[in-house]
Amino acid sequence: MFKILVVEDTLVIREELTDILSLEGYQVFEADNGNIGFDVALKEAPNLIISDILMPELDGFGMYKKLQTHNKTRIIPLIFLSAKAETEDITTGLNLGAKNYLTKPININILLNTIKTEEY
Amino acid sequence: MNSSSNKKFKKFLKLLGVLETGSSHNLHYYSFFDSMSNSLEIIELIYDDHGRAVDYYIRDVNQAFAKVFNKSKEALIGQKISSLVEVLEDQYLALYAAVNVTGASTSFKRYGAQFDEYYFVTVWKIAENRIGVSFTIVPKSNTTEVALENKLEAEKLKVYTTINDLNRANVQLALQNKEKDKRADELILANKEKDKLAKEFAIVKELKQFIETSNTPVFGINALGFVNEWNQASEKITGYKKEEVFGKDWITLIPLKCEKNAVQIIQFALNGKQTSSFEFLTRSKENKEIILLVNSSTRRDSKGNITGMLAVGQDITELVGYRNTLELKVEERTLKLNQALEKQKELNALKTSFVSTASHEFRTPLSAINFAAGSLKKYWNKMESPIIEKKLHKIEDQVLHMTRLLDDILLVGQTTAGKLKNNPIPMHLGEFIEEIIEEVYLSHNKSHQITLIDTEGLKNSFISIDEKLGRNVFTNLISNAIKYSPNCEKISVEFSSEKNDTIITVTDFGIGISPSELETIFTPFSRGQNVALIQGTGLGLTIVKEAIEIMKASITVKSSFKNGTSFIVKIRKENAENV
Repeated sequence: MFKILVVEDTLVIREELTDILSLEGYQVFEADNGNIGFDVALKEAPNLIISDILMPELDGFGMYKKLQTHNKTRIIPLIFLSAKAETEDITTGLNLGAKNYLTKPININILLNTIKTEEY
Repeated sequence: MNSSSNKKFKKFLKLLGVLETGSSHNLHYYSFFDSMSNSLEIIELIYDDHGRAVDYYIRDVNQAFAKVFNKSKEALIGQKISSLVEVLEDQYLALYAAVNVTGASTSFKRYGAQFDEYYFVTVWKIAENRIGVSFTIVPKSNTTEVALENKLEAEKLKVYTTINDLNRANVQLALQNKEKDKRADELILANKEKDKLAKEFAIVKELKQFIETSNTPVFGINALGFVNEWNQASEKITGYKKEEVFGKDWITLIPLKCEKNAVQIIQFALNGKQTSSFEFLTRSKENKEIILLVNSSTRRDSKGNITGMLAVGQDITELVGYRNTLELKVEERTLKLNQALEKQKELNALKTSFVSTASHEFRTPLSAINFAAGSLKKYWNKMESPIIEKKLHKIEDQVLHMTRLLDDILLVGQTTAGKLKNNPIPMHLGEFIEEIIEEVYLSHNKSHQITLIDTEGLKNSFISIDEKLGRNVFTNLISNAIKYSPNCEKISVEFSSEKNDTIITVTDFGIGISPSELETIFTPFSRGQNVALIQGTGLGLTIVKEAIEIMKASITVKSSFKNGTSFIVKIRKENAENV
């Protein structure tokens, strides 16, 4: 089963994402900040991480960098899903090595199609 | 006739100018002359410097003449008559002179004082200044007649002499008149020249006076740079009297830093070039700086040679002072403008950052709504009704959050635009604050414990406050206290009072504010470096500050970085409100 980790501090969005991905048949793990996200990734070894950027404790960029420091997590593809929608934010995210950078709000079908791209 | 007589006769003839050479025939004439009973003499007149006959030499006489003087002929010949007679009678001399001048012979009767006799005298001119005179004694019986005739003759002679004198005098006078006319002409010319000079002098004097009393400084130097003109205005402006600067080197009056300019002006002028509107610095006797606007021109003499420089200045010290003041003012204003511009730029940057932040704030609820609505649509058939209901509630919640966000932004817009009015009404302090605490407590999921401290028992007092503005202030402050103290659950709201104020203090023990950021906490859109992970619009404290100002209340902040923050709001008591 394809495992997806959702890292998002805003509860309503995290809940909705989990609902949608579960309905699509994915196994979903949740984390509400970067530090927890790293721990879950290390423990569960998800096939894909969908992460917010602005989060307390450790933000999305920080978590990505932390993931690169570990062999087990370095290979996990990551998609940023953020309300930070300015060009320089997107550039920063993609330059770090993220597979994709999606901005909120995002159409469900686009989100699902992007995930499917990483699935194959 | 012997040989000596012969000789004399020849000499006599020579004197007469009759003969060139003598002959026996001529000797006969001399014998005749010598033996005549009439006294004869041949004379040569002696004139004084004025052409007046004053004496005469006896050049020859006959025996009869010698006999009258009772001397030998030799004793008389060659003598001056003045040496032979006691009184020299002018009348005779004048007559002899007249004959010598006119050449006409004359005869008269005349008294001779020497021998007290009347003579019948004949006078004739023999040659130039050789006069022959013959005397014949007039018998005594004729003396009265002779005396009368003599008198007449004397009168005639007087008239004659007078005429002669008059003629000479006339000639003299004519000469003198001519000289006078000449001198008169010269005098007229001289007068004309004098008039002309006087006129020129008057003009020069007037010009000099004009320069002297001109209210602009006029000064001049000679070709060596020494001062030779210095009018009253120059004296007044510089404080140097004419006597003090005359003959002094101009350069010594110029401050060192302007020497170069001054030298240049002089060199220009002495090379025949003019300098106009040259601004340069000089100094007064009291060492006060003077700024003169100088027009200089070359000074030349009547032949066109350069003799110096004449400069007309204008004291523009005050003008320059005014100009400098203006420049200062302009600089000051420019600075202020730049500051304003800087502030405006900052504000623009903040507004941009606001737009960015606000859009981010909107994206989160929008995203939640989008997911909820999208999944309802996509998975409607798969969903149980409680889940559907939950999602619909979520959508409503998120719409509410967005509405609040919009209200905040609008509020900031209104307060900054001065559209909000203060309408204070009496409010029960305890009820008012407790209601707000409850509201915030619930909206933050009861995450924090909020304690009300009221040691002075002010809970049941009334404060005069605008309800909407007041609610805004305390909602924001208590909400912030919760937001920025994620690791400490204790929040306190304390009532206290001062003479004129009711004080409400909101305290948390959270992340605090760094000292460098304390000054900017009320600035629109500003957020602390340490709050990047805590969502917010950066508008909360801006709204608080604006509301406080509209209410004429005051707010101060005390913060310890990483240890917590206190916001102290002072609201004026109702009885102090009318101040």
